[in-house]
Amino acid sequence: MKRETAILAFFTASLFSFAQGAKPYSGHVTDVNGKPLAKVSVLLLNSKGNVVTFAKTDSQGNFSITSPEGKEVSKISFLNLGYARQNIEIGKFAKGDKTIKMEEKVQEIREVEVKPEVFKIKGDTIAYSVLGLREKQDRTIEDVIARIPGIRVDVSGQISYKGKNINKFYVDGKDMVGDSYAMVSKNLNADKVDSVEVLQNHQPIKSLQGKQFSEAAALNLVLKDGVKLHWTGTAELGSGMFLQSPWHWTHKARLVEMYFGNKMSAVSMYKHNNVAEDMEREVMGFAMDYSDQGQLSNIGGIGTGRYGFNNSHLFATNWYFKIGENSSTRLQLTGLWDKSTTHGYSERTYLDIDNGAAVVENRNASSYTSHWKGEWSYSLNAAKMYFRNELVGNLAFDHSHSSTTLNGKNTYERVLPRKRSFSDALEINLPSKDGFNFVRSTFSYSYLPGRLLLYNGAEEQLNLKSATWNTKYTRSFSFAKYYYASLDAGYNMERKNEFVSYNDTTATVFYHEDKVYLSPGLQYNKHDIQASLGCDMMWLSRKFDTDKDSRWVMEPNVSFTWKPISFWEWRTDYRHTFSPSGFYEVNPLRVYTSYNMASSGTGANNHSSGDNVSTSLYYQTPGFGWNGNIQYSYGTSHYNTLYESKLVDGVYTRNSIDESSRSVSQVIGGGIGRSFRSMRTRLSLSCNYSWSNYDIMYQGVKTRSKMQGLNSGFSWSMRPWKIFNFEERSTFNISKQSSAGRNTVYRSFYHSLKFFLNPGSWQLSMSGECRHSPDGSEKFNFYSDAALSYKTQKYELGVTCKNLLGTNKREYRSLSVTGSSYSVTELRPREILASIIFNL
Amino acid sequence: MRLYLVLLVMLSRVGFCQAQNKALQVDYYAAFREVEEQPMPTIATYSLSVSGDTTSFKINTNEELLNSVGYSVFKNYPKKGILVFKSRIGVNPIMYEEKIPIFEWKNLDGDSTICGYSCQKAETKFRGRTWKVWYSLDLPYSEGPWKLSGLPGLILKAEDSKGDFVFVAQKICKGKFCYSKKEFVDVAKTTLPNYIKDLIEYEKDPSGYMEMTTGVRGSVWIGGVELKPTPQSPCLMEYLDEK
Repeated sequence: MKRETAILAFFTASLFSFAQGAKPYSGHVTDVNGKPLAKVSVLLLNSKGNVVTFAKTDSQGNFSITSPEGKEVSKISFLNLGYARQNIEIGKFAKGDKTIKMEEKVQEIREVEVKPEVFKIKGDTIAYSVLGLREKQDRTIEDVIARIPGIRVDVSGQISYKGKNINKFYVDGKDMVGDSYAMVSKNLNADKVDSVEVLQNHQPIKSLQGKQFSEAAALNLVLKDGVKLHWTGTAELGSGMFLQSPWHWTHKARLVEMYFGNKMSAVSMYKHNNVAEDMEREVMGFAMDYSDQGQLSNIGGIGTGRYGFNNSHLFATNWYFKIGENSSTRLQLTGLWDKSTTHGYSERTYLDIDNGAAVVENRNASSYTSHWKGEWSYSLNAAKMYFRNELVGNLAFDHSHSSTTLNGKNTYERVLPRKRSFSDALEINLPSKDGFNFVRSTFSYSYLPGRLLLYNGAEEQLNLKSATWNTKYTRSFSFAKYYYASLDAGYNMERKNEFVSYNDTTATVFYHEDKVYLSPGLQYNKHDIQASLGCDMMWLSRKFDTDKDSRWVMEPNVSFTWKPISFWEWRTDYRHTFSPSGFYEVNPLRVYTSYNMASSGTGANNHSSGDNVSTSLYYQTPGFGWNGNIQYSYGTSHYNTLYESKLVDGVYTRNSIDESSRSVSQVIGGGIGRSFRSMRTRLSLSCNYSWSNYDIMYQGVKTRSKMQGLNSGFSWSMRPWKIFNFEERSTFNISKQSSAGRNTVYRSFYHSLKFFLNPGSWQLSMSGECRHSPDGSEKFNFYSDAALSYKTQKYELGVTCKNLLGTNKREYRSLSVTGSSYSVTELRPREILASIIFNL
Repeated sequence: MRLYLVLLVMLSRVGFCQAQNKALQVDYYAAFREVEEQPMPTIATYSLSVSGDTTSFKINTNEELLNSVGYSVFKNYPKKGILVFKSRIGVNPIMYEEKIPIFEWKNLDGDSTICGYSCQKAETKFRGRTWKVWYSLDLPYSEGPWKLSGLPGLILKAEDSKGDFVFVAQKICKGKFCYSKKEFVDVAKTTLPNYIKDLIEYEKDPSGYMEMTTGVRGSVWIGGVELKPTPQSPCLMEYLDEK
């Protein structure tokens, strides 16, 4: 055996060395009858089958070809249309006959049609070319991302894929902005991005990859080469005015600078506008806030869109440094200032109050916002270890006031909802041979000192202090192929302290909650099936003043995901939940949450429990073709706290009572869409029906009530010609409320149509929006906007005219669980804005 | 098993018979700059038809109306060994002839799959631009988009090193090679150097060029002021002073 191996090795080595030197080969190619064949391709191939060099036969069928110096050659190949291809070992050819006879063979053409420029699939990653997706009117990368099949970008800029929020937003593979990704997505010019990659089932922690399945997707922006390693940005200045009285000067300014380097990446910006453009979401992040939001809030808030009368300034800076191969640190500072005014009229009718008494308000409010946020994080994300620490600090100095008419009486509103919070999250993962050990610990502290002027001129002081500390250890290991077992052990602590003072009432209440838990789980993870089974077993102890409650709680859950082929996905899950009544539900003190609204809890540590089942089916082709989804969910909740409501002097008071109720809510919905290559046509249709049964207290009696809602939508976009495209969207909504023998139904339509004409560097866009209702719940309203711009590589000049028809108010009726309301909101008048944008 | 094999052989025979037509049609997705100042590339579809030695490379007729730069390249048609390039400058149809160019190809490492065909990579320098192409030995046609040709297989993807021009095959099918006698009727003849010169002149001052060639000044007047487009320079696919 050894001898044979030695001979083989010698033979291979000699053949290899023979092939390395430059060597000429020549010969003659004919057909089977000996007729010389001209223009036959003669190829020298290496062992991988790649072409090293090639030549063609002359009119006599002769060829001569030389292998390039230093290149390995293993075969010579003869190729001619209409003849069978011949491959000959180079050694054999060198020694053998130099005349090649080619046999005729009909060339088979495999007919194919693909659209490679739009997307490429590699494993779980789908890369979409920006060029293939983009329409000319798309300015930022967010506009392009929204065109990716399966992706939804909501109004705030939050991105979801197949119904789940994305878990990471990378720029050239770097997690440079964390969850404040709108800072990049809403500001990065689409010209600067080559492609957008959708990383499906993305596990961002390297040491968990292949060990813990992730359902969420991530996005990665692949930048163009010229964008990297130098500062790039945008500067914009705009000025305009209202074209209807009262005359008002409008302005906007923007300076965004970005740097994408290997070691450092940065985004800094200053933005200002009083044209009702929303900027808050760009800096506030989409992750869950650890801190309690409190019970008080500004009147109206920051005005955006057609209804907003704002004056906002925003400053943000984000720096990302790559420290080592796997470690990085990030620092982010943001500030937002705003002064917004709102003018509106509303009539609210409460379902749970005798005779359906109404609260009529006419409000002229001004609200001031000042939000500051600082964030620092360090992460080490290596295959052998994961460590991350994130520190977040928030400060909010808000206040608002309003001169309001409440049921014909003039009153003055004032609220100061101040917030300070601090949180730290630490995560460590140490993979082991058979699994991993994961520790997550978060701590947060918030202080919310608030002041509120009440309807009677007294002032309420409401100070809430809250601290939470959650720690969890997870040990997961694989015990058979595809099977993982895991055990979570954790401790959650919550402490709350609220000081309330108004009129003669002054009190401080304390709330303690401690949870110790153990959760065994079992996961099965094969490439097309992911299944998990688990149960949280916990010891829950609560104390509200003197009322104590301690109990054992079990929360079982099961989930199943099946992807029979890559385009189909079926998810289904069940979860039982136990929800201790929160602090606000328990607190027996009457707390005013606005000048004419107050609520009080039971004073007892109640709880509710629920069971939820949901199932969904997705079909998604990545490029052109069909996509669709169907979802159903059922949820029931037992032992819900019931409230009895009263209306005294225009103040709506809710007091919890010693009775509980059960509620059931169900949603069924789906959508279907089709994208056509022809004229870049996209069509989609969606429909959702939801209904819920619940109880309210009406005239002292528990009354079963029902809310039903149907939302359906249709959208159509098309580019019939290179220079012209349009987008159409229509929705139809029905909401129905049934309680105590009364039925209220509201139906409304919304249509929007946008045209874009893009000849050369010019762009003209026209849009129209219309709302109407067959039952008068939405008064007929039509808005129209127009914009003209001229764009070059370096700058863009534009004029925008909004609300061309000068529609000044929107009147509509809406339903909620406890009542209905009629609102009239003042709209921004007709306005014009001229702007210039420079690409820096 | 045997029956299965027989069926398989029969099926392959069917495939054999259907593929007897050597005419091939390839649709390319094309992204290109018309002028240097253009912020975003123009996108169009071009179709290549190959029948024997004869080839035509034309813009998709649906898009032609809107594309000022739609051009056609014919090889060995109507004359053997000659390439005919047909385009427009402004509204004037124009054509020139040249000998079918010979490309010096250099094979590069790397392969890819385009339209399901495995491809090899090669590079050439041609008139001032470096082209990287991917061609398939499974389609032994020495043709490709625009003027590119001469490889042992059909070029399914081509891009120049500056990224100004990209062609990617998106559809491969058996097609008919259509000849139209009217193809070259009423088309002014020129030469390649003159074509480039005229194109530069035209982009500098389109209305001036129109006036010079047609006698009509195609421009827009508002309030007695002529709206003059900004002078631009064409993004040329070939530069004659460079090799």
